[in-house]
Amino acid sequence: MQVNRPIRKVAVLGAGVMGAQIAAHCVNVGVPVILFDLAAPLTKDGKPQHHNTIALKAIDNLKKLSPAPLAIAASADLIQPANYDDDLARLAECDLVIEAIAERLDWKHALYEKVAPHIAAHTIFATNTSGLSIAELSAGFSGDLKKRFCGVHFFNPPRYMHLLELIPLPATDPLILDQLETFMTSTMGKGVVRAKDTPNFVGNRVGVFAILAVFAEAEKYKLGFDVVDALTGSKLGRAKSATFRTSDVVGLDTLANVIRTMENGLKQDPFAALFKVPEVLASLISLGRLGQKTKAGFFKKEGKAVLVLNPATKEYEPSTATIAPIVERILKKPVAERFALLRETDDPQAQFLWAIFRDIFHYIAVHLESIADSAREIDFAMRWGYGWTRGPFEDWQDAGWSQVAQWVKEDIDEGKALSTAPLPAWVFAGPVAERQAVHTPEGSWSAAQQTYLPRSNLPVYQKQVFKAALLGDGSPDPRKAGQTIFENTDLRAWVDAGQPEVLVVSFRSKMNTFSADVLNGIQQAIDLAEQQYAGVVIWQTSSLQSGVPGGPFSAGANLEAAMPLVMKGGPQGIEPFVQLFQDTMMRVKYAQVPVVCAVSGIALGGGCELVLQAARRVATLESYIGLVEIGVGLLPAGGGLKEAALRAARGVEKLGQAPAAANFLNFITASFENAAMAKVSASAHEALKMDYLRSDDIIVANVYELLAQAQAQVKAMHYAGYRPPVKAPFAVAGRSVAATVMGQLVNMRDGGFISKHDCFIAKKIIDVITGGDVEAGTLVSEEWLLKLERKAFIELIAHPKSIERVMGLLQDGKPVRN
Amino acid sequence: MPSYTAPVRDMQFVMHEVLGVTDVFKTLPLHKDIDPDTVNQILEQAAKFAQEVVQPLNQNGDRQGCTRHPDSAVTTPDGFKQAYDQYVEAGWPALACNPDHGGQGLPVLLNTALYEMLNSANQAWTMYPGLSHGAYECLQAHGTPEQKALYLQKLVSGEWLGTMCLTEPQCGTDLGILKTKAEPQADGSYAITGTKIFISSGEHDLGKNIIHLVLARLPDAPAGTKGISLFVVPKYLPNAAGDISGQNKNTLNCGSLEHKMGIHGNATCVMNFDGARGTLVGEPHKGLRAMFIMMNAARLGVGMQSVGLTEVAYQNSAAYAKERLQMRSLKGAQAPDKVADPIIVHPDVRRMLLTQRAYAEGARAFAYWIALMIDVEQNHPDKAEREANADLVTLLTPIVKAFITDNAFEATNEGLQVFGGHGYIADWGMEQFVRDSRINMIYEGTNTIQSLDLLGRKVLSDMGAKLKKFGKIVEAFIEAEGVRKEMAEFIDPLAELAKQVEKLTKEIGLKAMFNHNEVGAAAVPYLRVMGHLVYAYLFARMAKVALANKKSSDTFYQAKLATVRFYFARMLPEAAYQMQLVRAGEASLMSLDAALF
Repeated sequence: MQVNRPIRKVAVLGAGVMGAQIAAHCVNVGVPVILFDLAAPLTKDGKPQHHNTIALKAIDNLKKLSPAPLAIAASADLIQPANYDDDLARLAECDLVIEAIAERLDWKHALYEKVAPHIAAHTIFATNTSGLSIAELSAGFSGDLKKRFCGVHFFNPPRYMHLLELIPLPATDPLILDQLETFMTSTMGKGVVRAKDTPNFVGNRVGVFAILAVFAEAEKYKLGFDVVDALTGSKLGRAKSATFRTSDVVGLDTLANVIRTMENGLKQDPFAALFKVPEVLASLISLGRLGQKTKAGFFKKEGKAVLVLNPATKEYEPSTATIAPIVERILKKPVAERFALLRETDDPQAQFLWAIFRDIFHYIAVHLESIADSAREIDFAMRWGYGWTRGPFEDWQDAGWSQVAQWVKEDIDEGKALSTAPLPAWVFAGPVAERQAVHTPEGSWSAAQQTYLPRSNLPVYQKQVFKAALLGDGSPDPRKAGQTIFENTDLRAWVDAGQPEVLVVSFRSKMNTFSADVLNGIQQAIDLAEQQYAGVVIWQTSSLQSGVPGGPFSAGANLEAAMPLVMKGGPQGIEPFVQLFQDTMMRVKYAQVPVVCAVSGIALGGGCELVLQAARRVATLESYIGLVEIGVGLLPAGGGLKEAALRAARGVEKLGQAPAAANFLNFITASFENAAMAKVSASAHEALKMDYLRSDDIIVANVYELLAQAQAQVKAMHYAGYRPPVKAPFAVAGRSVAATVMGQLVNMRDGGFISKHDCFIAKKIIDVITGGDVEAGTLVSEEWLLKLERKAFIELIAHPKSIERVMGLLQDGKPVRN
Repeated sequence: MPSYTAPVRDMQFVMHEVLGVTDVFKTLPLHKDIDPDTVNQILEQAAKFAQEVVQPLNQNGDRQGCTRHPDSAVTTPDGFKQAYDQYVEAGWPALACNPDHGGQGLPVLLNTALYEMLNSANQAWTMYPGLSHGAYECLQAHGTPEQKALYLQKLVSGEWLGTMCLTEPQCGTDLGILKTKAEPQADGSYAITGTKIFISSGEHDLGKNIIHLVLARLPDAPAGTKGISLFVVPKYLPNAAGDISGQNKNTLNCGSLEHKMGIHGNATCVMNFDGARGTLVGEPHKGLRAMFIMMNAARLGVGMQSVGLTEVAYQNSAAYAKERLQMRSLKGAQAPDKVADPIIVHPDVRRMLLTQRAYAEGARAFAYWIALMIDVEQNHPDKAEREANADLVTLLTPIVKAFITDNAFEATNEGLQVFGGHGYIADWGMEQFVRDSRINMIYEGTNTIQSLDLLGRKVLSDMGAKLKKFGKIVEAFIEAEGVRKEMAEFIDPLAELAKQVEKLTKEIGLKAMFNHNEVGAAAVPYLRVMGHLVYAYLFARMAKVALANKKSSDTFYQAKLATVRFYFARMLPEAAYQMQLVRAGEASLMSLDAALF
C-alpha cells in the first residue's frame, strides 16, 4: 500500500529558526535528517571557511535554545549539515524535502529551481511557509513535481506545538498527502489539520486575527497590557503567556511581519481595516524594543520584577494587574452563563472579554467557507497551534448556537463589532441552526459544502484508542469509556472493547496523586488481571490534555492527604501509608502478569517510583520523570532508592567486578545525584539516560497513540510467556561509599552550594542507596532497603525544616528553599 | 430608665426574607404546618410579654437583688414571681417542648427568638426559665421512663423549675476533679453529698419545686471526666404520682448567695447537698456526656443573652444620641434652631451606634440560622440531612457563644459610652447592661474554652472536615451571587476571607502537629477570624435581600444595606488583624519563665 511507503530520510532546506528546529525534531523521533543552508562565503578578512559553517552553527545553536528543541542536546550531532553548493546530490537520498527558508517568494523560487533537478522521482517536496500562497510557490513546477508538492506548516516551537497544517495544491496527489499525514501524525507526533491555500492558512489566520482583536478591544476598553494578559491567559484556557507576553516571546518584529502578511494578502477581507500594525507595536519596533530578544517589549524584566509598558508615556511601570474578582468568578461559570454574564456585566474587563469572543465568533463564521474544510479544522488549529483548551466553535456551540449567534448579530447591527459584515446565512438557517451544532457525531460543518464532513479515516488513526475529541462530535469520554471493571473514588479499572484482554487502570485523583484508594485499586487490578487478563496498563486519561507538559502521569503521593495522618498519629502515623505504597509497588513489580506504565507528562516522586517498578514502560517523547522528594524535605520511599541500589548491584555484576566499594561508586553517583538534586528528565530520551526508562521501553511521538502502544506491549509480553523477575539477594555498596559521597556533600554544603537541610536529606538518601551501615558487598534483600527508606522517610517528615517545605508547597504551590 | 421595643421587623426579616424558615419547616414533618402568620403572631405576643411584663422589672431587679432568708429560702426581686406566673399561665415554657409532655412542639427557632426578647428585657429574670428549659432537655434526652413521667410535664408547664449543678469550689472548667459523692442506696436511689457553687436559680420562690441536675461521683468511679455521673435531685421529693403536697424536703439547701458584678436579679447560689436523695440519669460514669448533649443548646442560650443585651443597649443609646444636644457638627450646625446639635451628627458617635447595631443584626442572623439548623437536625426525615446540620451546629456553636458574647461586651460598652458621664450613672441603666453582659463571656465554658473547643476539637480533630462543609456553603453562595456586580462589594471580601481561613487553618494544623501550645496560642484570635467569616457570609446574604428590595418604599432595606456596608468597611478588617495574631505563634507567650511573672 502506498500510504505505508516509508519516509526513511528527510532533508530540510534552510537552517533558520524553523528549519533547524524541524531538523531537530526529526532527530528526536529517530528520523535521519540533512540540514541544508547556503555554502558559507569567505570570511570578512577573505579567508575561506568550511562550506557547512551556516548549517553547523545552526545545529550548534539548537543546544542552547529554550525551550529545548532537542530531546537530548548531544543528539544535535545526528543532524547532518549540508550546503547547496556541494551537497545537492544528497537530496536524492531523501524521501521528504522540507523547504524552510525565509519568507521571500523570489528566494524560494530561486532555490526551487536549484534543487528541483535533484529531488528523487518519488520524493515529497513540501514548503514550511507560514503565509505565502502554495499555488504561487509552485508556479513554474513541472506537473509531476506539483503532484508531490504541498505546504507543511509547523508551528513554533515545532517540537512542542502539536499542530501541523497540511496545505495541498489542487494538483497534489491525494496519496502523497495521506502518506505525509501518516508520517507527520505517527512518526513526528503531530496533529494534522488540512488547510486551504489562503493567506496565513487556518491557525495563523484566526490566531493573528484574535491577537489583533485583543489589541483593538483592549484599547477600546482602556485595559493595560498586563491586565489583558491576566485576562487572556490560562483563565480563558489559553497559553499562560497570554497575548502580549507571547508577542514578546515571538518577537514584535515577527508579529509585525505576520500582520503585514494579513494586510497585504487580505485586502478584500471585511475585517481588513483591522489588519494594520497597531500603533503601539509600530512604536515599540521603532524604539528597537522587539520583545524578549531585546529585553524589552510590552514587558520588561528588571531583576525579578516584571514591568509593563505604559503606552502613553512609553515608560515601564510596575505591573499592578489584577482580574476583577467578579470577572474571575464569572469565568468559572459554565460557558453559556459565562457569555451571558460577561455580556451584561457593566465592567470593562467583562465587556472586553465578551468582545474578543464575539470578534472571533464573527470572524470564523464569516470565513469558515473560504479557509477550512470544516469547523473541525479551525478548532483543532486553535487548540494545537495556539494552545487553547477549547476551539472557538466548541465554545460557541456549547454556549447555545442560536443564542450566541443572536448576540453577535445584535452587536454587529449596533456597530460594536470589528466589521459590519453580516454573519453568513448558514448560521441562522439550515442544519446548523436546526441542530444547534457545527460538530456532530456525523462530522463537522463545512460552510463550503453546506454539510457535515466526517473525520479522516486514514489507517494511522486506528492507532488512537481515543482520537482528539471535539465538543458535540460524540467521541467517547475516556473517563467513562469502555467497560468499567471496578472503580473507587480515585481510580477506575476498565477494558477497551478493542483490547478486551488488557485491563487498563486510570487514576482520577488530583494530579493523579497516590491515595490509599489509588494504591488499593492498583493491587485489586493486579489481583484481577492475574486471574483473567493478559496484563495491566496504567494509563491516565489526562495524558490526552494538550499542551506542554500535558496532563500528568502522576505528581506522586498526595501530601495534603498524608499530612493529617501525621497530625493525628505523629510521624509514625504516616508509616502505614508508606508501607501500603511500598507493598503496592512490590506487587506491581512481582505481579504474575506484566504491568505496563503508559507515561506522558510529569511522573514525579511516587509517580517515578511506579514507573521504575513496572514490567515495561511506554512513554511519550514529552515525559518528565524524576525523584523530586528532596524538594519537599523528604526522600523517595516507594522503592525509588531501592531500585537505584539494585541497579548499581546489577551494574557491578554485569561488569564481572568484585562487589567492592570502589566498583560501586560509579554506578551509584548518577542515581544518587538524580535523587539528591531532584533531577527531572526533559524528555523520554533523557529519562533513558537517567536510567528511569530502559532500552527495551517504547518511546512514542504521538500522545494519542500511547494507550494502544501500551496495550500492544502487554499483549506481546503475555504472548511471550511473561514471568516476573526472580527475587534474589544482592550486594550493596555499604558505609564506605556513603562516607565518600558525604565527604563531597559536606564540601558542597560548606561552600554554600546546598543548604544544611539538603545536605541532611542527601545523607539519608546515600545511606539508603548504599544499603545502610554495612560492609561493601553485603548481600541484602529488597525488603531491607524498603525498611531503610521507610525509616528515613519518617525521620524526615518529623523534621521542622521538612515541614516548612511541605507547608510551602501546600500553601503557595512551591516548596521553601531552606 | 431604659426602654425596649422588640425588633420584630428585623426578626421577621431574618426569618422570612434571609433564611426562608417556613420553607425549611415544610421539610420537617413536625413543623410542616407552621406558616409565616403563625411565626409572626408568636413573635408579636412574645414581644408584648417581654416589653410589658418583664422589662419593667429589670432595673429594680438589679438594685434589689435576691434575698436569702435565715431558713435558707430565697426570694427574688419584686415582681419576678408575678411575671413568672404570667409566663406560665400564657404557656411560654411549653413553646418548644415535646407535645408528649404537654409541650407545644414549636421550633427551637421560635424559642430562640422568644429568649432574645426576654433577655433584652431582663437577663436575670430570663435565666430562671432558661435553665429550667435546659434541665427539661437533658431529662428528655437521658431520663429513665420514671424520671420522665415524674418531671417532664411539670417542667414543661413551668410549675417546677430546674437547674444544673456542675461547678464546685475547686473545679470550674476542669470537671474531672469534682468531688461531690453519690452513694448508692438500698432502694436504688443515691445519696448526694457535696457543695456546688455558682448555681444559677439554685433557690428561689418562682415555682413550687426546683429540680437540680447534679454531677457527682459514684464510689467506684474512675478518676477524671470518665468517672462522673449525672443525678436528678429535686428540692421536694415527689411521691410516685408526682405529688409534692407532702412537702417532703430533700436534704439540700442554699448555703449563701454569691455577691456578683451583674445579673443581680438571678439567685446565684452555693448549694449544699447533704445526703440528698437523687436518682441516676443515664448510665453510670457517663454523666458528662449526657450533660454535654445539651451543651450546644445551652451555649446558644448564652449567645441569645448577649444578642438581647446588644440590641437593648443599641436601642437606648441610639435614642439618646438623637436627643442629646451637645456641640456642633464638624461641618457646621445641623440644628441651628437648637442650642447644640444632637450628638448623632458626630462620626464617632455613629461608629459606636453602628458597631452595636451591626453586632446585633449579625448576631441575630447567626443565632437564628443555628437555631434553624438545630430544628433540621432534630426533625428532618433524611438522616444525611440531619447529620450535615448536626456537624454545622457542632462547628459553629463555640462561635455563637464566644463571638456573640465578646461582641456584646464591646457593644454594651459602646452603648454606655454614647451616654458619656450619664452612662456611668446607674439611673440610666446602661452600666447594668455592661455588668450583666460580662458573665456571658465566662459561664457555660469561658470564651477561651470555646476557642480551644473550636480550633482543637471542631476544626483540627477531623482535619477540617466540618470546616470544609461550612466552607462549601459559603463557596456555593459566592459562586451563585458573586457574578452580580452589585454584590461584588460584599462577595469580594467574603471570598478573600474564606480563602485566607482555609490557608490559615492548614498552617495552624501543621504547626500544631509539633507543638500543641500553638493551638492554645492561636485559638482565641482564630475564633474571631471564624466569627467574621460567618458574619461576612450572613451580612452578604442580608445585603442580597436588601438589594433585591432597593426600590421598595420601606426604608428598612436602606438601613439594612447601610449597616452591612458599615460592617464590611469598619468591622470585617478586624479579621486581618486577628489573622496576624494567629500567626504570631506561641513563643512570645511561653518564653517568659513562670517564676518571672
